[in-house]
Amino acid sequence: MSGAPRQEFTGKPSDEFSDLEKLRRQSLAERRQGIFLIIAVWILGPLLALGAEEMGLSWLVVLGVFGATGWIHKHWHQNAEGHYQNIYKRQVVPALVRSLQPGMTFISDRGIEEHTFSSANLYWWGIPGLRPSIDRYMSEDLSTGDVGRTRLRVADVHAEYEKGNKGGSYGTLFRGVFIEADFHKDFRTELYVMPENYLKSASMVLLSELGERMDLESPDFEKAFVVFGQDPVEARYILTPDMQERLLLLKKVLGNNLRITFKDSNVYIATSINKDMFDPQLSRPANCPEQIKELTQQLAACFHVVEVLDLNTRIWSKQ
Amino acid sequence: MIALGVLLGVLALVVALMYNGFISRRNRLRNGFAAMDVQLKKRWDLVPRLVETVRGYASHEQELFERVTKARRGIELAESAGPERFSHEQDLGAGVARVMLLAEDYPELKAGEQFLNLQRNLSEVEAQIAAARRAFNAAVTDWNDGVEKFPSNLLAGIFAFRVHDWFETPRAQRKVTDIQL
Repeated sequence: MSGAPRQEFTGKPSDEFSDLEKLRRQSLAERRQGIFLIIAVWILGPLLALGAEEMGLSWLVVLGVFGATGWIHKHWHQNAEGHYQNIYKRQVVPALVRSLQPGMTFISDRGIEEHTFSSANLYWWGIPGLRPSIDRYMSEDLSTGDVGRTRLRVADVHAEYEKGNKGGSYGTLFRGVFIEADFHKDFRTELYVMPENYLKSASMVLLSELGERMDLESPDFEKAFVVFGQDPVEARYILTPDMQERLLLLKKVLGNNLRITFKDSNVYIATSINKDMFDPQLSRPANCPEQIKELTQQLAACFHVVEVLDLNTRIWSKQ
Repeated sequence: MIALGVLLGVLALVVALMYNGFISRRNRLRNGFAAMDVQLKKRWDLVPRLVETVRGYASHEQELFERVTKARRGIELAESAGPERFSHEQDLGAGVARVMLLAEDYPELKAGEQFLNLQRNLSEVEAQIAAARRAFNAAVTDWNDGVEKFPSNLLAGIFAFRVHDWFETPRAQRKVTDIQL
């Protein structure tokens, strides 16, 4: 199959790795400087506080210690790591992506738009009767292009909701990988495939908005997922017995927290993972084979969706 | 007296709910059949074009073409949702699958634009029929459960509700969607 992803990285960016390794060591040194600075602040802070006690300003020193710690953490710690990761993702990950799928491109500072994610209607923030609400949204590490005959977009997404009315505090609605792929059949209605525990968490109002619950034939599929849709014939047109088996396989590839929407002749897949995907670690050498292997596997698993769901088979009316 | 009245009231309510349940099931069954019928009609329309296209290359398979034509005519004459209609539909599906397989032996036919279009349309229609058939059979199962399970079977007996036939597909027909372009 032309769209089948290769499992090994075949590029040779060894020269780039030496520059990256220099940058990594420099970033590590900056991080170490940050740690030393924080230790120095925490040693000097109490001494200064003792001195300022007589003037009744010790609270100001304590405040200063915490403020300085936060500032140093952000500027030395996070920036050092972030800068290295950005360069790595610009130089290495695109080559990995091209090596796996020549038709795909990786753009680290772009993601999938918020309206695309929210219109998939896969996540909501738990207040009965309310539709999903996203108050802060971030998406990056976009892989986009064609896998065989299928248009595919994959990105890291972090969607949050505001806690309470005061603002400033956010809870995670979804964090993980979001995939948009061109489905191989045309359809008009929307179909939701949710994990089997979805019924426990969703309100009746939301469930009624998703449509009628569909019982399908495969007992294994019924144990793993609950399906909601508006048209029983179209639901079965999309979820053929073969597609039900393929979705069970996809669950094995992408994990148990899989949610899927079929909408506008596209398929949207969200799998929640509590970490940033496609990011290198500062603690590992730039050319660390395990790290490259892990990144390759993460990307390959996402591109593998096309093969698992057989999206390149275009024998129906949709070209 | 009041107790008897309450009992009769509850009984009437249960009967009304059961009856309405049957009506909803019957409507789902009818909807399911109507959806399937639309797709079966599309296949019925495609068959003459398919037969004419393939006949030009495989005129010696006259018996197969006649069987397909006979099944098509049988559908036209049969009762809309009766077992005879389903039987003819199965024959037609199996015949169409055999005609499609026959085309595998004629590379020139297989590569032709007209046949490719027909093949694509037929794959689409067969996928739609399969989906509609599954939805219809789910509605039939729901209906038959009501007719056969206690206590709704008592009401089904009173109103002469009968079990409905499933629409099954012969094995040969399943091969149509496996054809690779």
